[in-house]
Amino acid sequence: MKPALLALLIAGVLCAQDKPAPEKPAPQEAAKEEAKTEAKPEAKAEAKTEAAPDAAAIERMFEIDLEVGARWQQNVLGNRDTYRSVVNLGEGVRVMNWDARFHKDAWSATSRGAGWGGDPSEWLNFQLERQKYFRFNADHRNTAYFNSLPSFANPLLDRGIYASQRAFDTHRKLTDLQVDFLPGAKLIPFFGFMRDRGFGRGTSNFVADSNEYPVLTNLNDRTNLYRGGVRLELKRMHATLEQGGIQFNDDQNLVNASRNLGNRPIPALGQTLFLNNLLQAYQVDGSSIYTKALMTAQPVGWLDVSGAFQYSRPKSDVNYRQENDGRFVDIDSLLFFNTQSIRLVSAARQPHTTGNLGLELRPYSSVRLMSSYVTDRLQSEPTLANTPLAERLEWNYNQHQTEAIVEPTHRITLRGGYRYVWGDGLARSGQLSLSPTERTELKRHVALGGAGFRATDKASLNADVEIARSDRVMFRTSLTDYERIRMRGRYQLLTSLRLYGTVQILNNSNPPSFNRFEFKSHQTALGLQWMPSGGNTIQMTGEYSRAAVKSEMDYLIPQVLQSALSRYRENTHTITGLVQWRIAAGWTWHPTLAAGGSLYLTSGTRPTDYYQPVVRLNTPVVSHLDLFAEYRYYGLTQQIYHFEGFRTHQGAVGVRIH
Amino acid sequence: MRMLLVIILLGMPLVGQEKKAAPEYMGTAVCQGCHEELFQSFTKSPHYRVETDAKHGFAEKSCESCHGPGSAHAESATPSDIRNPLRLSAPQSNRVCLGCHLNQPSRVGAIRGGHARNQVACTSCHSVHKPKPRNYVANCGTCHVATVAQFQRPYRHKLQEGGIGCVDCHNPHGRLLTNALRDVSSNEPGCLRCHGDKRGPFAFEHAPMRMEGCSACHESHGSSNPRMLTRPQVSQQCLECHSNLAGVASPTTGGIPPAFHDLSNPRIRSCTGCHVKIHGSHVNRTLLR
Repeated sequence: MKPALLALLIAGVLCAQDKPAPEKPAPQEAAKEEAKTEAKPEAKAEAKTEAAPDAAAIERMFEIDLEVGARWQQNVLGNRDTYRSVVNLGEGVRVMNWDARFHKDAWSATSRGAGWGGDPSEWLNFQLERQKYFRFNADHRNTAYFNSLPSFANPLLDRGIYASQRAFDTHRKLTDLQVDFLPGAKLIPFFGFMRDRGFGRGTSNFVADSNEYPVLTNLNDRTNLYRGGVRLELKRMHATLEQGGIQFNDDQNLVNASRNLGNRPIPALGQTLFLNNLLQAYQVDGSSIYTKALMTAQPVGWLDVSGAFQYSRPKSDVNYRQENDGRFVDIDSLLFFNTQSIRLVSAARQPHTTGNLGLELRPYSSVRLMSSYVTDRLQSEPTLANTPLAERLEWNYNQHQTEAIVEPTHRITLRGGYRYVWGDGLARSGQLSLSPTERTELKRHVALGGAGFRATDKASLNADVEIARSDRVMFRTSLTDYERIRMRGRYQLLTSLRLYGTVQILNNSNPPSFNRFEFKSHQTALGLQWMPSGGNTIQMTGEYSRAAVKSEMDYLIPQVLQSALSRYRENTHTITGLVQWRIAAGWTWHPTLAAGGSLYLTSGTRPTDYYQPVVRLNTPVVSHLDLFAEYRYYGLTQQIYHFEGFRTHQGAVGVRIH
Repeated sequence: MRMLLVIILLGMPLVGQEKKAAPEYMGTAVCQGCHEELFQSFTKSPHYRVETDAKHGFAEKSCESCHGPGSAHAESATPSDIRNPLRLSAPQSNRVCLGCHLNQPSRVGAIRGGHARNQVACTSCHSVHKPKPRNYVANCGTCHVATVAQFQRPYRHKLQEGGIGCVDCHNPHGRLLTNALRDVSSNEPGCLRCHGDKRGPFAFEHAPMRMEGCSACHESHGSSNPRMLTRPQVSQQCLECHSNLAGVASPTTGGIPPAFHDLSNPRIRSCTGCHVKIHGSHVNRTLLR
């Protein structure tokens, strides 16, 4: 019996084990072998010989998405200057946008851009890289900046003159280039160049005693920034050393060549003041050198350290020239004069040092302790003939923060900490002050708290709280005793439906020893994304935001030195949305209709309604080629400044190559 | 004796079985076998250089540089047998990315950056397998919904038109000062990148420009007030600062009224009509020219 039992048990054990299959390798080995076979260069070469690069291979190498179209526009109804200040889209042929990529072996290039052909925001980005050799990035923007609002800076509004005296019609061209050598190596040298140029015309005031004269201003400023440095990328430490310099020139001038009566409607001391000829020219030459050192390190697995030191020394040298003739008065001496010529030379230096240091410790996997210190210090040292040192400006800012983050479970995160902000500054006083300078201080204590809750992979909620109490603040409008709450959440209700939202609340109330400043703001925003059946037929996004600002502050009416209340109210509703419908999914071609836009309604101190609906039809014609048609409407209504409203319809048609 | 024999015999199958081996690296070619489409898009990603560059130590096994050794997954084809950073908590997921990206220059300040504190994982914004089109509204807007709404206001920076992007002003990886604001050149405020004519330094500075920054007067995302100001009337904007009241124990700078201006006169009410160099003047103490 015993041997039988023994034999049975042994046989059972042997039967329980899978019989090895010597003819078939283990799955891992098989996969490796299969992959090796597939990856053999010879095999690949053979395949290439058999079939020349086919369309799919080219598609893998190139990707392009290009939209070219023409836009036309109904005449703007209402105020055209406001339209140009807010929208400024014009008619004509445009490269609406493009995104092109090329990738082959070690080479890759991308190019993106939008708005070329005359739109106010033209931009272009180009990147070229050869792995291990270089990486080049170029960014260029050409922004048209037009701003002429009849209600803004217009003292003649009451007389029915709708012309701003602070208006601009300028362009700003920004080019930013950078090349990194040996990307991926331990030592990466880099060089960069940025050029920022603004030019154009506008209206500004020439200010004389007892009258101001709106005149033509020519604007022309240029900034060239050169920089170079090296990045060190070791396994546990990265560091960047950068040295750079800025050249800055500003040649603004104001000119007038005809009789200009200015803003003063009545004579001064019995005489009419006027301006005939004016040349007011600024020649500003500025420069700066700067040094930047950045470092982050993980000396051990439970410690992160980061730090930065930045030092710059900007300076400016100015030659100011003013020649004007007409009829003017010097109020201090009560003397009239007809011509004036002024030459001034000024210079300013502003050494500026910034530093920071941060630590993150992870004593346990669920605990993070973070501490950081920041300092920012600058002092402005002007030199101008007959100018006392009282114009000196100083600013020292410091901030220290410590915070702990604990994860009691993998779904809950708790945060708590403390921030202390302190600093001091020196600035010149107002004309009525008894002292030439004012010294001010900043001392603020902030308690920090927060929690994160990840109920499932589909739902999360995050909340932050700041409670601040200040002993000193810099300005009357600075927040003194405030509470700030921020909450963000998201919920993937269905596979096709995602909800998200935010709440932000800020309450400031100054203590009795400070000036009265009550500031309350809250913003609530909710959004949804709905993509049934993976969004193949319908995609929808919609967002609603409600915001309110309530501000009350005591201030002094200058002419009578009486206290009054400055009130500001803003109640805002914003709705944005877009519905995309892929029509007749069963057909062989699938036009897409998209409709949406935004609606902004605000009441309060400056009630404004602004509508931007859009409808777009995209129709495939052949493979990789679509036609599109688009309709947009822009409408602005302002109840108080009704003369600033506008509305216009725009249409566009074009082709999309992809 | 019998009992001992039974125990030994029963134990044999257990001893005979191999101990479960630690997962091994399989190489990208194995991953490609099942995930061909993913692999093709990955070849266009900047991360593909991990595949070809020995520096990171994952040449020819770039998939496993993030997903970990994949032998168990290759054998079972079960998703749970391989690391998926999207399923990890934010700090754990970020550790995977920071294994290589720990010390990129942009990350200086990340320790105090809002995204790091709020458990925002790298994968929340970045598409690891293939480059994502530049769409700030879609990328940043799903969390910062209220901020996107501010860009629907009439006076705003041209975000939707592509004239500016969120990262032109903000460093999403963090900076030690508030709102993750970006610097230009070294330590100048990021606003000066485009608004270079406000750079200075001026012989006569307007102190808030240096001490509180542009947001002391401007709503940087968008406003219903002209010039993106925080108040609709320039005089209201100015007087809220320039009007300290008697008896206030904690004075602030700039509060003493600069002059006895008669604000009932519309000429005077527009402060910048005379103080044209409101951002700072090179030649005039009261910012008149």
